[in-house]
Amino acid sequence: MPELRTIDAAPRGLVQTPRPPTVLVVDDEVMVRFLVSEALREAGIEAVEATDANEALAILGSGAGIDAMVTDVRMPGPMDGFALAAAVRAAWPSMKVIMVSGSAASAPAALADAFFAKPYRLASLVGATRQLLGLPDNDD
Amino acid sequence: MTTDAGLGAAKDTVLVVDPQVLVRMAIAQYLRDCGYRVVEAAGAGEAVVILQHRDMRLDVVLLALDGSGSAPVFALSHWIRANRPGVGVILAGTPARAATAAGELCEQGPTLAKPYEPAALIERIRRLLADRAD
Repeated sequence: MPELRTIDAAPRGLVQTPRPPTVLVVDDEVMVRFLVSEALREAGIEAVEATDANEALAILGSGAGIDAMVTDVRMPGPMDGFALAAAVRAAWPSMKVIMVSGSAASAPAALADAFFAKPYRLASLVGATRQLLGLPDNDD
Repeated sequence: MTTDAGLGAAKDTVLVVDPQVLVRMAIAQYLRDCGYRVVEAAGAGEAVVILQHRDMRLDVVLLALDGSGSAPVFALSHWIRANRPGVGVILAGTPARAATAAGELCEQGPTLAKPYEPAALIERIRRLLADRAD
């Protein structure tokens, strides 16, 4: 299990709380984004949410300490999930990327560490995310 | 996606509506740190999608929308009062007001103390937005 670490959660001078690994969830469907994020939180993973690639890049650029990203492939705006994953690979090569899609059958291995075709089981997605983050299967 | 996750959580739940992702993220994280379940919406459209799930527990909607979109803010506020009368609405037109409102929610918070003072949250939001502008 990776060591807990501190991210930029509060201004300097304040006591900062160790935080679990953090995953960025990118999906333009608000209910999907919420359910995926909540499932990750219930599994002991911090989740931050973005509606599209622009929001995702803003979060990533803010120093929020993101360890992995779960992104849908089809999203509004100039960048879809593939383009976002490519940008992440270029700028943050150590970040784990999990892609989900209801339209694409797969994702290039160069862009994604794991791929889930919709419909998928949330438990499977959470399990894969924990595995990629080096967390044990469960915290029991 | 298939899930057994229920929407009617036991935790007090706040819906944070803010089009600025870095502000929304900071406010949501702050509220989670003091024990709330938080649902995030980037605008009125997403908020209505959430609010229409009547099986989803929602206690308060924190409308942190800026003044440029005041018509949707007031329309959404009226819509909530008409369609989800048990849900409280807090209008916060600026990030600072949203942070102050979040601090007040944490004063009344469900389980935990304020993680830090709202002034520090405001400062964090300012830094996030300033870094983005650089």
